[in-house]
Amino acid sequence: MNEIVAKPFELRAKSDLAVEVTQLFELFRSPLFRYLSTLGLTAHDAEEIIQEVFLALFRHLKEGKPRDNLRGWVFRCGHNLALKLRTRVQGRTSGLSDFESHADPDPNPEQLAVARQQHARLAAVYRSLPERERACLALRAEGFRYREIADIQGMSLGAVAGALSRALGKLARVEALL
Amino acid sequence: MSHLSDRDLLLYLDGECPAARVEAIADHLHQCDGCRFRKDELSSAAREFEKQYEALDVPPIQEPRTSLLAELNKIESRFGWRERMLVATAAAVLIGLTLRTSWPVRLPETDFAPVPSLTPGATRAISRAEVCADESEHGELRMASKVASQVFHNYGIDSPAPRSYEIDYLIPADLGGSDDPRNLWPQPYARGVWNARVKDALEDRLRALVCSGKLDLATAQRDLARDWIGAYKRYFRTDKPLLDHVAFYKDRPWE
Repeated sequence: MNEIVAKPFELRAKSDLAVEVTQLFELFRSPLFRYLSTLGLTAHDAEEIIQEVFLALFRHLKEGKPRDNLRGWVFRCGHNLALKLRTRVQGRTSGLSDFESHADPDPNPEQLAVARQQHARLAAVYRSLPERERACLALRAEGFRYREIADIQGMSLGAVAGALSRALGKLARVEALL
Repeated sequence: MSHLSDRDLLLYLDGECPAARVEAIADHLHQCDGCRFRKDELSSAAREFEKQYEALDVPPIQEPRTSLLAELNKIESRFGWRERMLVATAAAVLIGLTLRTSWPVRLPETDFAPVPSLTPGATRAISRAEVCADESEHGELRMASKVASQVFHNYGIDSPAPRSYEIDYLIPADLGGSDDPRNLWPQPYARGVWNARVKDALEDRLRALVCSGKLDLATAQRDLARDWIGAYKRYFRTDKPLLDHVAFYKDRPWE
């Protein structure tokens, strides 16, 4: 009797729309996960929110609603769900600690130590930023235009520019001191 | 012109500056070492941030992707059931017949509930004495890989993850269920509320009732085949799985 050989899990999608949403998931999950981490969500909570976002996207598309700027849609939905979750569950461990866990790939031990120190100080400043500034920085790093950042966070264009310049100003001051 | 603000510099750097201001800012930068230096500082801080941001760990995608797809398929199945119910109802009205089908009206409560058209249940000839023989005499059943593959295929699962499913007998073998694919379905082993572990507990209960003469074998088989969750609720007088049963272990997961 033959044993079944273990293979990577692969479910077959039951519709073209399920295929499309899964492809969008593959495309946007990592960026959205990083963004939700900057909002202080734990990895577990971030994964839960991402699942909710893509199920909502599936319903959105199934109902024939607009398809323009789905990346922005996904982030906006994730942002709103994250805020809702946080009001429900206060006091969970912040995912921001991840921000200082990455070692510089530089092999020189001395440079590595300096880079780690710089990284740690930048990370400390980053964590101390108000949430809006952190979120704006993250979305800017994801390549969103200011208009899109404003839309995702439900703030004005001027407020985005203000938050970004304040945040980068603080990070630049730390860099200058290093 | 006074020095440029961080905000102006950033708008300029990011190409977000109003067209009317771009030229004036560029001119100022050309002449002012201080503002040029500040622009470079902001730009460097932004680059450093981006480097660290992009290095943030993201867990592997495989598992969440599978969960999502399973959920999407579940939603699609529900739509499928609704459409089928509509067609069936319309047909019954047209031909003036009372609609008596076995299609479930209730939506499935498990991740992969047995689909009646794929898994209606199938039995083999067995006596009560055989059912109630010492459990050790039943031996451990190993399912032929061909049969397991057929069941996974029927349910649209191409490459099942090891240890995630039990190929479950809708009517268990020790209650006379056959190993025909019509009696088999892939049940997530420990996921969802009404999972394989809970069903295993019900099977043991029914077997005990049959062997103590409190229930006849055909009724036990029918209850399992029609709606095992409903049967569980009736036999255990509960609306949700009992805590002991959530961790109940009888059958090995499929590997």
